[in-house]
This record gives sequence, structure tokens and C-alpha cells, in this order.
Amino acid sequence: MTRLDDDEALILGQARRGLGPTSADEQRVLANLLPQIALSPSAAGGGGSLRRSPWAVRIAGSVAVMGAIALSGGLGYRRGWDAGIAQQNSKITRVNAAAVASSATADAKLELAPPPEAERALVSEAKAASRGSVIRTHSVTVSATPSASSAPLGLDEEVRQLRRVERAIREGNPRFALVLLEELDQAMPAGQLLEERRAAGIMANCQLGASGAVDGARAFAKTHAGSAYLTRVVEICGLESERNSVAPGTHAPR
Amino acid sequence: MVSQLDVLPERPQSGPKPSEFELLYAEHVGFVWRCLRTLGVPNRALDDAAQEVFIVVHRGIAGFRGDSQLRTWLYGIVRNIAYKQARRVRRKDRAEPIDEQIRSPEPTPSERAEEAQAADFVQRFALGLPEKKREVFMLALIEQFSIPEVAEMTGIPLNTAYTRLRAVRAEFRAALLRHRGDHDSTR
Repeated sequence: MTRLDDDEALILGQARRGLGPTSADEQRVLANLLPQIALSPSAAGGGGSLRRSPWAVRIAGSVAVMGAIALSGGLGYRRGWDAGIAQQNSKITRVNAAAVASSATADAKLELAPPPEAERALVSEAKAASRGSVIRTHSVTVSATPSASSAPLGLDEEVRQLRRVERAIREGNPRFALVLLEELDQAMPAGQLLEERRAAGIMANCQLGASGAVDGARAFAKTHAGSAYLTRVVEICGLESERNSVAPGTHAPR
Repeated sequence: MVSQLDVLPERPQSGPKPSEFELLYAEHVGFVWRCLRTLGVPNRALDDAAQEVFIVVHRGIAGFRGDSQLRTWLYGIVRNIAYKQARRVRRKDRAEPIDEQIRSPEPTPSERAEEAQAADFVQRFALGLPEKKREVFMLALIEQFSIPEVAEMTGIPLNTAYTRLRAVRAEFRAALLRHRGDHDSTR
């Protein structure tokens, strides 16, 4: 990504929002899409609202009947075999889940702490300001409860989006960082990297000089004294003079 | 201290759990929609094009390998469908003016007016570019992908991507200056 000047960043950020779908667009397309994919041959994830087509059910039924006839003699043996496989699979799933969880934790040094009052004040103040001006603010109204979107697919996407936010901040494009963060909040309101989102939102607001950003940074420093992002938040928000209160041993991720 | 979690409404306990496909849709529909618009799919064909993209995604996701390439894979689908749709619409209605193609499909609330204006300007600019430059403009400047990512997604050499980006940025700056000049002179 290249550094954009203010005019470019402003118009591209606004255009990005303007070009995107409204929530009505999203819902309309999804509503029309679901019946169509219910008739299509593949099922991604197979969960929830996807229905099987009658043909798929018929074919599956025929296969099951033929299988039952062919294997009737060895049914007991087959069940034992399936049970063994299932047991092994469940072990593998547990190991994979643990590996994903530990990788995510190592990657992100996740801490799920409730956002403090000052941050909430910052968010609402900046939100109000953004309606009248060009500044858009990252909303921190996210739930700490892991949801279905915290599945590995969602986490990967969340990490990738946060990398782009980080890059925007490093390149000095805070407006874009906030646009990306808000999109991330909308797409994945219950993600796993909430502390990182909050830190990125504060840094971007500080870069923009938004009112209340420094208070938000102070509150972040208080509630996330051990955060890997603290040094950068302190640095970007100009809190070096208050650095004595920062816990020793923290470092900035690069 | 009252946690923000305490003031959030509780999630309903009943109701269908979203499938992985629906989550994937929620995560990527914005990207898909913006790409389709910037690549020249007119508003009246957007719904169909977006649906077509996700139908192809749905068919292919089970065989898809390697999460890090998901956007690249998705973009390949979007690009094919966008160009197919754009060609189809051009054939069907050649007389349609460009204003009609890019006008917002629904009345714009006042808070979105600036965004709609910016989107209109950026979309006009993008549609005036040759396809190869348009892709770099869209992916690098609107979608904010890094240049190595843009090179991978579009299948062009890294140096070519940098060269195209430099050129398209210069054009965009010039267009922006003209736009600002026009805007100021009409006040």
C-alpha cells in the first residue's frame, strides 16, 4: 500500500463505503441466493439453513439402501469399524481445535476485556462527530462471546483484515484504517481479536487527532497494561510523558 | 464498572444457526459487490452478478485448498462474472447512458450523500480506465491490498503491478484535482 494524501484517502474511503452494498442489498441477495444454492450440488459447511434438494435426498437414499443390502452380512463389523474411525476423528478434531486456538492466541495475544467508559465515550463522541464531518470512527461495540464467526475461516479472515488495518496505520492512512475496522466490525461483530481492533481504532483516531482519542489511549493503557500494542498506542497517542505508569517488559509488534 | 457487554442485548437463543456459507457470504459480500461495481457491472445487474458469484463459490468451496488464497480465488470468480455480465448488458442495451449505469439504485439518505458522490466519482474514473489499470486501481487503492497481493490476484508480475499503480495514481490525482476545480467553480 502506498501513502495517500488526505484528499485521496478521504475520497477513496468515502467511495469504498458508497460502492459497498447496503444491508438491504445484502439481505435481498442472500434471500434470493439461499433457495438457489439449496438446489446446487455442493454444500459448503452444510450447516443451518441450507436444504438438500429432493434429488440429492433420493440419490443418497438409494445409495444407502444398496449399501445396506450389500453390507448386511457384515453390519456389526462395519459399525465397529465406523465407531473406531469416529473415535479417531474426534481425537484429531480436538487436536486441530487446540492447535488453531493456540496459534490464534500466539498470533494475537488475545485478551478479552470489556471496553472502559472512556473508550465508549470516545466512540460515541467520534461517531457523532463523524456524521457531521469526514472522520469515521471505528466502533467498539463488539461482543466478547465467541460466535460461529470465530471458526477457523473467520479467524483467518479477521487476521488478514487486521493486517490491512495495521498496514494502513503504518502507512499513515488512518481514515482508511477506520473504514476497514468498521467493515470488520460489521462483517464479524464477534471476532476473536477484539483487543487488537480496539488498539488499532485508538491509534488511528490518535493519528487523526480526533477529540477523545488520547483519553481512549489512557483508558486502554490502564485496562491493557500488559498488551503487546501498548507501546505503539502510547507512542502514537503521545503519552510518553505518562510512560512511567506503563508496565515494564511490553514491546511493540512490528 | 459496568461492562459494555452488560448493556448489549442478549443474542436470541433460538433460531437457525448461520451456516458456514452464510458466514462466508457476510465476510465477503462487500468485497464482491464493490469489485462488481468498479469492474463495470451496472446497478440493475448487480443482484444477479453477486448471486452468480456466490453460487460458483458455493459449488467450489468444498474443493478449495489453502485459506491464504481465498481472496485470490474469489477475485478470479468475481472478475469472470463481472466481465461476462458487463458484456451481456452492453450487448442487450448499448444505448444506455453511463449515468444510468452507475446511478445509485435507491434513494440515498442524507448521511450517505457524500459517500454516494465519492463513489460516483471514483466509479466514473475507474470505468474510464483500461481493464488492466482498473483492476490495479481497484485492488490497491479501493480495496487496499498490498502490491504483492495485487500482483498475485491479477496474475501479473510484481514490477508491472508497481508500474501500473504509479501510472494510475498519477491519473487519479489529476482527475481529483480537476474534480475539485470543477466543484469549486460551480459554488
